[in-house]
Amino acid sequence: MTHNEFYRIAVADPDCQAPDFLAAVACDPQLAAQVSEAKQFNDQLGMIFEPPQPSDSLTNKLLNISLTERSQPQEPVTSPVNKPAKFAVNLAIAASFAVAAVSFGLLQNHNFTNPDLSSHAMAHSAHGASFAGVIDERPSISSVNYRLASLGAKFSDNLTDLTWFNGCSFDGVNSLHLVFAGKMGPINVFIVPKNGAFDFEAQYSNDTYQGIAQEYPAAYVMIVGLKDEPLQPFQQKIDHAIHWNI
Amino acid sequence: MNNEQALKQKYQSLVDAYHGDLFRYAYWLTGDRHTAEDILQETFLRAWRAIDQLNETQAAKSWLITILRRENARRFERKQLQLVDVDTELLVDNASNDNESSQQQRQLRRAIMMLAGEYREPLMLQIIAGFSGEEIADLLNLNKNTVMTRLFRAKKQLKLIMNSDPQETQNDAQ
Repeated sequence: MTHNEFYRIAVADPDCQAPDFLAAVACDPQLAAQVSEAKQFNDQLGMIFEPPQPSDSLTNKLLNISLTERSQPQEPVTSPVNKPAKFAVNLAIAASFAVAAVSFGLLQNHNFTNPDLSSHAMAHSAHGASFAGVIDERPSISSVNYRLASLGAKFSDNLTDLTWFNGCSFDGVNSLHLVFAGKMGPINVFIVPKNGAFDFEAQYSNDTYQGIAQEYPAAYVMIVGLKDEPLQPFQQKIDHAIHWNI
Repeated sequence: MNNEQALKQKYQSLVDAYHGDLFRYAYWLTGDRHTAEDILQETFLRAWRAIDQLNETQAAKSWLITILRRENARRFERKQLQLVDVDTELLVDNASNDNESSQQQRQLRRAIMMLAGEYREPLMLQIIAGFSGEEIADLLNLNKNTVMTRLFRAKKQLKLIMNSDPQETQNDAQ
């Protein structure tokens, strides 16, 4: 390694413990001085990054999470040694910046609407048929309400037959996907925040599914069941169970 | 102690040990306290739900940072890009403490927020979380040399700002 390369390491990572770097520092006073200066600068930056401190209420909220029922995550949480997954995270971040930037530009000139929210709900139900709600995970209502809180909504505690839930990307909008046990099969419920100006049909169907859409103050609730599932009573059940604080 | 109690204890020790650093990391990543709080809650909720996947306690910090970065990526999926200024609480003028040092600190804070994300993030991982160049490379899925170059450039840029005329720098930043 050249002197310049050691110098760059000294500036970039003065705590580097690589044996060749440490050996170079030991026999080069100028490099040692650079390491010392870079460590001081890191300390100075440490003071800059020190605030803010998390509030006590946030700390309590984080601790109280362990009082909620723990269920298996529906998607694996990345292991620190899982490189492909890490690549996906980085790609997601890069892509999200790009998409956000492009979208931002496009939205300056266009009033974007999605005319096909109902089709998305049915496609999403078909996509999740092999895993969503196949096993009754009995998620707690409190864990669902934790996610719903950001929408100013909550379900009453007596809501029954919930077998599965997870966050999902609903045509780019982060939404909640719940599955209930119906009379004829699983009933999918999507709670889609009104982040986008979606268009929807109140009732919809295809060869396999039928659905009902309901618009609430902060979200659309899309209910999808098999063709012969009685959805009206289920829709009323959801309507009675969901409460909006806004 | 049954398994569920052991997991709960494990989770709570993670909160105790890392929530401060993670909060600061989220804050400097997003530039907004409320967004940082939201991301942190989502991060720990996911960590709790997957706590039994964490076998090596010494990998916990990297594991939590990875979850947090994913949550931040989700935030961009959910929302349009928002330009967020640095929290005013950090930039507020304090007349009684308005000496050269505090002025320099304000300039540094502004300068850090003005760094490109690709420079700011490795710097945060080094300074806030204490990761080595190799660990940062692993977390960001980058070549170690790339990380070292970014750290080098980030620090050089910040040094330049520190050594320049304070008034001029303030004007440049605005």
